[in-house]
Amino acid sequence: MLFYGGDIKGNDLILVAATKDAAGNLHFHGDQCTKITLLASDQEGVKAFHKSLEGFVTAHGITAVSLRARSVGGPYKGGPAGFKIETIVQMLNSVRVTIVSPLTISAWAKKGATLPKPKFTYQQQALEAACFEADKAGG
Amino acid sequence: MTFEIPADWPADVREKISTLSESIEFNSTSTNGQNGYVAFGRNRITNADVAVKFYYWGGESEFHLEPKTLTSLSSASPYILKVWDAGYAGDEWAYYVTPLCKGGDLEGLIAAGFCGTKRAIEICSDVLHGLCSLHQRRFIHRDLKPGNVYLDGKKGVIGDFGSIAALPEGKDTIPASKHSLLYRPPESCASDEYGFEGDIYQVGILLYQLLGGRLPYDENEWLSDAQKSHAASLSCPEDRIYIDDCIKQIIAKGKLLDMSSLPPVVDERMRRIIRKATNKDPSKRFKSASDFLAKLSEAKLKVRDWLPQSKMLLMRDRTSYRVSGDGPFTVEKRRTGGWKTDHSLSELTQLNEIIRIIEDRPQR
Repeated sequence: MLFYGGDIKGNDLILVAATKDAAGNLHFHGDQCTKITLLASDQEGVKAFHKSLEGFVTAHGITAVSLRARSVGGPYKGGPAGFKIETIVQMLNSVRVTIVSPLTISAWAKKGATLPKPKFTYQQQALEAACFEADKAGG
Repeated sequence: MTFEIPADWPADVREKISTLSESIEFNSTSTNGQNGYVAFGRNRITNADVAVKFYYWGGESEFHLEPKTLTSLSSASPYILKVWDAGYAGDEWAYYVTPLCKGGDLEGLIAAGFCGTKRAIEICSDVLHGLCSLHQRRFIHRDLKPGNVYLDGKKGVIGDFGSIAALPEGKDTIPASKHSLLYRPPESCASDEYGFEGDIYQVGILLYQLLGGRLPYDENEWLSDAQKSHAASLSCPEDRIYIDDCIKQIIAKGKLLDMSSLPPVVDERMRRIIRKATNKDPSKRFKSASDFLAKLSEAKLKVRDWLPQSKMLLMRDRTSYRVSGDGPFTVEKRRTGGWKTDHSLSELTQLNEIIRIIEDRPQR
């Protein structure tokens, strides 16, 4: 079963798929991933983003996503576009979205999980969220 | 008004219509369907207008979609026409009952010419959204064309499931549908193969037509003079086979679409999208319906929304423009208040030059 992890970086939503095999190894599925950009924060831009995301989710039969939580304060706090993206993801009817704290993911990763390598560096944190979910669910 | 089942319809279909008449008051039939029989009526209890389509499946039982599966598609996507009922009519025919879309199909919209850039994108996005649902379940439509996409209000919905088929696990292609030659992808003309990429190709043609691209339905328009006279010398059905072969050659070469027939308001971005979706090589098309959809959603934000409006072209934005005439052209603009003639463009005689200058002007 594929587990999806999501990360919001600036105006981009990165969705990455991972699985866990019977031996407990985690795998990255590069052909099942996407990066969707919120090109404009106006009404049309939000609708276009929603339509693209809905299309990807439908085409890949995604029912659950672990979304890496965004900081609401401090030097690395998320921008307004990110809040819109997070809301759109959570509003998807057919998808159960779980917001996972980066601290929780880091703590899990430190326990010795062997993470697969993503294709692109920007997919790293979304992949961690996907692997966290896959590991938690037991594969 | 009394309804009579056409005498030339197959006996199994006629018998099923008689049975269905207990719950549906049939009132007319359609002659448009090329790959089946369509009857219209009204449900005697709910008063809902319905269409009943009969389709032949006897020859393709391996890939045939069971009526049960067809009915389950109803809930798959709001962009797929609801199937209220489905069943068999004898051993070789099946049928399904759908609501009647008052907006009709896209044939009428396309016959009127260019329908507006964003409107075309919206309809194709709806179709692609429906396709995402079908493809995720490994179904391929195989017959996406203007006559099989209906307008439900402003929304485009995929209809006509007569050619829909399940792609077995481990297989990338199945035999193509034999219907609607003009919409058959190049690979299906060359080797009778059809996969997910075939549906993407057909949506590309749909986009081309909605944007005003020319695709003549009269088969003679595809033939050279020599081919026409050769066809005329043949007897039926050899002439039919010969004409189809000539058209198949054009499709296989990837020369079906004439991009120069698109109106000048269709910008290079949209032309690139059409070219990619309808590429002769299936591997060079969009990887999936969702990729195509994402590209269209992105394009919709960037293109200028040109609309046809009573013999003129209108572009609505912060500063709106309208262009009328057949050359010389009259260009008017409006920011606030009424329309004012834009004298800076009155010297130009080429419409595409006027459009390019307007599109290059900053809006925000």
